[in-house]
Amino acid sequence: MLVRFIKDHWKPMVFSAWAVGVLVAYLGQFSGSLDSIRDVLDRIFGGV
Amino acid sequence: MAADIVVALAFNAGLTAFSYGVGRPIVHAMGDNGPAGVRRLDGGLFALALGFGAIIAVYLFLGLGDVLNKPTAWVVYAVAGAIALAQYKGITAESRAAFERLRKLQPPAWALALVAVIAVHAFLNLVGAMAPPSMADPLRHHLASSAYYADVGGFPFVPVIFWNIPGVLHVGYTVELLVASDIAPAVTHFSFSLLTAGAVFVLGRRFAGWKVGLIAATIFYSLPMTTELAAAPMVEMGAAFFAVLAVYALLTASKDADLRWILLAGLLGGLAGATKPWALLAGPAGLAVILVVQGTGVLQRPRRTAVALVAFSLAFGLVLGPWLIRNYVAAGDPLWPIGYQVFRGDMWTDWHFDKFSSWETGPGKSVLNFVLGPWNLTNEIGSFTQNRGPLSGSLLTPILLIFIPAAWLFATARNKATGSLLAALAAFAALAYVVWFAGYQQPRYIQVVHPLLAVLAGAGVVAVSGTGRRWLALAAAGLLGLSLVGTLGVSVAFNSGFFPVVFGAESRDDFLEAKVSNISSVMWVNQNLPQDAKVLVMGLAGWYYFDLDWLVGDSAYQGHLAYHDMTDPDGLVMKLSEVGVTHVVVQGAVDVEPTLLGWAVRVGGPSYKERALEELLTDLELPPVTPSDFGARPFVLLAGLEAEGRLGLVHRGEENVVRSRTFGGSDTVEFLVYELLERQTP
Repeated sequence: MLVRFIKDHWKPMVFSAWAVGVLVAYLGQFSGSLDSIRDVLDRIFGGV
Repeated sequence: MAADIVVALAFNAGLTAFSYGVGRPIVHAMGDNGPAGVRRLDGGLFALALGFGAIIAVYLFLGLGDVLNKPTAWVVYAVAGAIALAQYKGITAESRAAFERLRKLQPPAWALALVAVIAVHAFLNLVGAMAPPSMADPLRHHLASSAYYADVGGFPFVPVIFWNIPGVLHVGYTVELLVASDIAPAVTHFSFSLLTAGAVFVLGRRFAGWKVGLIAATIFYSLPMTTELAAAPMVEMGAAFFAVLAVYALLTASKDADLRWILLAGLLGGLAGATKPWALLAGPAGLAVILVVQGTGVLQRPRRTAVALVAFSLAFGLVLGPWLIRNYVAAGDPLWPIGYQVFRGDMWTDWHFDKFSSWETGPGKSVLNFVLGPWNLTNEIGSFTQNRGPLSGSLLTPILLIFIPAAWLFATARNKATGSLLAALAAFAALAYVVWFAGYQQPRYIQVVHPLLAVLAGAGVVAVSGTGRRWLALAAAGLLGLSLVGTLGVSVAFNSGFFPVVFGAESRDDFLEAKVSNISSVMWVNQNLPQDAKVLVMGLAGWYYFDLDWLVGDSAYQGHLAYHDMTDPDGLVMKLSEVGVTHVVVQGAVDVEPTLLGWAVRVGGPSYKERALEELLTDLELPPVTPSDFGARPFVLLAGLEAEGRLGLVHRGEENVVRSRTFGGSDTVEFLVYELLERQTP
């Protein structure tokens, strides 16, 4: 049953894992940039 | 300012319409099996590309003949307009039919939302384009060289790096600086960004359906790099537009290798290469596409494949010919100075070559990094942008990396034409990537591939949505939606800084002061030196804004001042007198002592600090040993002149070095202005 499930769904599972992995790695590179993001938001919205 | 904007918009509206008018008969002359036989929008883009290329060719030859001036520029513009007007009936009938079809379309809400996203990006980018030029590269190359060509009325060979090939858009920018305003080039580049999005749409639509086309166009136009480039007088969007249409033509030529389409692809690929040197990779990449499209036909009909390869190459070379021949005649290197390693061209040296070949970004050139390149470009962009951080304009979205593999993973959802498209685009992108990886690895240098990657990602999104699993389709839509919201935020953040100056809440001078490094030294020179002064500029910022006669002084960026041949300050005085230099401006930089010797130490390294000026001057009798010696030499020569009282300090002032145009912030530094007190008759 498990084999059949994997056979039927391996493509969506592989794609989902890939998408989540890329997304996490992508967002991870912003961790050191929060101050920069805050600066831009401050400039646009006047420090609110 | 407002007048400049209106003139820029009007001139560009005319240029676009006239390009279409000039290109339309060319397209029709190619017959119904050519671009006139494909869908109206597709054929229209080909007409526009060919017409623009034809108009630029006329301007180029006028410039090469030293007769490009206001009257001749207007005459060509008027003739192009007359050609367009002569087809008034045909064009209006086509336009009416197109609008009628558009009116009858009943697109789903998501499609309208994507069009709205493109429209909002376009509005923001247009505002950015209407601001005074402030990006470093245009001020140093794209506009600075065009302004020089406009001044002298032609395209003489200028031995300054990146000025050597007056590319397709540079010719257009020269004309715009002559007859319109300095806002016009950025508006032209903005227009090409939209045209590229259009080309992406028609490429995707023709070979994979309108959904792929629309999603691809939206992904491409929302990339932060597209945002950054579209709002400035750069050249990348022109190269991308021509390259995408070249791929369209190669795919349409199909297995039959229809020579008409192959030649058209060669011309368009040549236009891409003649627009930006890095887009020259459209040549080998185009050949790769031909081989992929031919597939097994390469072995079954080798003669036909060979003819296609030769025809593409000849057409490609034909467009590049004028530039290559001009450079070869002038300096012995058709790609001066890029081809130095092969041609050993004039006015360039091993020191120049060493300096620029040592440039490298990215995490390294190992096999692992080659394999991980797309991952690193998406998730480690800071390592490619000198650690300026991931919020730079070089940022890619994760959408490309997530969805491109899906186009193959869910391969059963595609048809034969889509398979051919995917293979061709992958071949083009792979070849471009190999060339890019072997080079400097500046993310912008592979931008010509982004539109094609967007098509692959669009095919991936549609493939995922077509699997019949609702949750997967919703997840794909959610990812795409989140990405589009994020990139819209980047666009707002990037372009918001341009709104005040464009809508009159900030003066042009205040804007330039906040956005352009070293602008104060440029303005001081413009306002205080005599009109007949000629300034040697020791620095790399804001060149476009010099109003007086000026000369690039940095040893590595030019080949007209052979400092390495000068063994004492007398040699420098002789050369400066020969070229008419009266003043020297030394722009400020962070962490540099604002003196000539301070600059020698900065460029030459710590050993220059340990030696007295006399010793440094004595060492000039020997040729430079390292690129650092080569770079420091002019400052040692100038310091020698100052010590001998032959060069006098006229002014020492403060100026800003801008840390980021987007985030703001700057460092205050000092600039120096000298007068050459003694000149010698050569």
